Amino acid sequence: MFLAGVFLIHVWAIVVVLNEVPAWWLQLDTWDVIGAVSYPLVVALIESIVVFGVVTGLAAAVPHSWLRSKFVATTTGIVYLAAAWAAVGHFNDQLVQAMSIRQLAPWAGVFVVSQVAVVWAIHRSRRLESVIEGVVYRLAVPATLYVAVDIAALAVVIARNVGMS
Amino acid sequence: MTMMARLSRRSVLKLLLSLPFIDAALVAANQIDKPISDPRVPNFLIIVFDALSAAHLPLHGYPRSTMPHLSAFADQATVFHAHRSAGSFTTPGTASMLTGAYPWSHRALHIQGTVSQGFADRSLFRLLQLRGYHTMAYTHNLVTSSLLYQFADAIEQLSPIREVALADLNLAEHVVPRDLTVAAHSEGVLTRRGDAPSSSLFLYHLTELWNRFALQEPHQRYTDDYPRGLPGGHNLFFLLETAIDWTMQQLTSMPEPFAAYLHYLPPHDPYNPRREFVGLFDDDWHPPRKPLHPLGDAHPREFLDGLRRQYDEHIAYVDSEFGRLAEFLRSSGLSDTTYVFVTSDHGELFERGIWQHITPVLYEPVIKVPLVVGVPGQRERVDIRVPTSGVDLMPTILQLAGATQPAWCEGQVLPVSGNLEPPADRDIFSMDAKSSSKDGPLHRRTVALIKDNHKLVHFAGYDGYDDVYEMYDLEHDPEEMNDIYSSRVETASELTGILRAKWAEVAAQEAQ
Repeated sequence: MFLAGVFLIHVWAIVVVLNEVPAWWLQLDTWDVIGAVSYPLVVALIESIVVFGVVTGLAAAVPHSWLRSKFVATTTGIVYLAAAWAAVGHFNDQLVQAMSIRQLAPWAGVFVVSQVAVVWAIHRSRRLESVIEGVVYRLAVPATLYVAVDIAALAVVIARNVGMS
Repeated sequence: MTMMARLSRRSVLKLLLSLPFIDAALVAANQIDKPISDPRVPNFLIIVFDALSAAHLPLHGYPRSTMPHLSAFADQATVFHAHRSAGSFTTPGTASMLTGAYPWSHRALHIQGTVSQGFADRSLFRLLQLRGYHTMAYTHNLVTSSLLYQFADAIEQLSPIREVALADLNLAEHVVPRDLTVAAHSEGVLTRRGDAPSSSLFLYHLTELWNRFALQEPHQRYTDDYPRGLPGGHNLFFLLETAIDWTMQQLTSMPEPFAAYLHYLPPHDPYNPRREFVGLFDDDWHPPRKPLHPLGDAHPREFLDGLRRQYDEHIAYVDSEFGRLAEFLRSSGLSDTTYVFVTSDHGELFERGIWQHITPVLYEPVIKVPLVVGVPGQRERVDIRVPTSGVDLMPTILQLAGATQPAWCEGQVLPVSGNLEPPADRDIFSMDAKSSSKDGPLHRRTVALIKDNHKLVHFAGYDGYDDVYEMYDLEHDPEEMNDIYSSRVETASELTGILRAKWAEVAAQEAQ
């Protein structure tokens, strides 16, 4: 499940960052561009750990049959649906920023209901569960690669800030 | 055996005797000056109000009374009426002031950009520090921070942005100050500085939510005084009042002689002045109507007129705080020992469908900035009307400090303190090349040449607007309404020749 989260978070981060790279090339040298790419990757690693921690904590907090009995499928479903909502938020950022906490509250309710629906659907459908598990297993290899890239990015960030740059 | 142990008494004596000669050789090789020992040398205070257009000041003929305190200050100062920034936004404009070089030389061309490595040690701070000055700098502007951190070795007192902020949500300067510029680029991607989504899928939303709660208290506390919201920008919130109070405190305790560079963000947008200035210019005055520019955004006139009014109100707010600072300088006696330079890094546009200053055009409101110099002991106003440039700031200060002009400097000494006027036929340049490479040829660029009362603008590399010239007669057409490039063939040919020759020089410099 951790690697499934890693994959999603990193694909998003890499696509957004690569979009910026041409502009960075105009004014930064190669080492600086590597640095500028590295910071978001380190944040993506932290984000992956935070998401994993939150979902694992949630699974531990609720009754065993809700999440832990089908841990990989249910938690992956939760994370991927949350990602879809997060993406909607990104593409409507100005609208979201303009909304008050009170205006956002109903959307938070819809978010929770959609999450419950996904967990319920996974519990009801063996086929859905196996599809999700199949996807997770296939993502494990590229996600592991991303973690390796993150570690390299972390090394770059450390190097830049201890005077090796 | 250590090195010290190997040195004989004679070689130590030789070394000591030769030290003055080594020092002299170093001074000659680097064209640096010996530190001053005269306690009567002047201080320098450079006050930059970001995005303050000269076109919006009554001092330069604007019909709204936006800066009465600056006008009063100017009554006993030297006023430069045709002063241009070397760039149309913060990075090139500021870098040119601080290095005395045009953007094509220092190469700080981009938002959050820095000068080339060769210029990192060529700042005004370094030259004044070598002269024995205590150097100090502060900015509200993260973009300026990149430059100041690049010059940090020569700035003895570089205060972080957060020093006078109500809330500073930027992390780069605090977490990784050694790598500020690169980290700020990354932070821009993480915190969605621009139209693209954040690179952080989940944490972005959580931090935004957190920021809302964090800012709730200051917003509530100041909502009565600042009805349009807290002054700030770029994830930073501050009160100019606090910054001015802090400045006065710093100046009181600063060792002399000092050279202080204070770069305040207002009147840069968002235009959120104190309540007493909101609605100050709800008048019937309308600026001249100008045609849309092909490289503009086609914002409607009503939209731009509304923003112009808010900008003018924000300038009036800035002026009230400047008035407090000017009064402090007078009452503390600092104005008797300190040259005070009041200027800006660039202007602001509200015309031809264009808002702000991130634009390829170089019309007067975006490049013409104020320069008012308070000279110790000056009691009458002096008006200088010949074209001058931001690159002149450094050579002027160096001359006043009794320092040698460095070879790289492209500016001239300004006529303050009884100097002669610079020659009237001097060529002044301003440019924008933010879409070109820092290290390569500047293929996409706009360059303005101002000579006497004429201004030639060359656009190169823009889709549908490549190799286009515009020319204006600034004496008879100060609003730049009539492009006379095709009708005044002789002048156009002369100015085009000068610009081409200059660009050939720049291209040769790039080729090296």
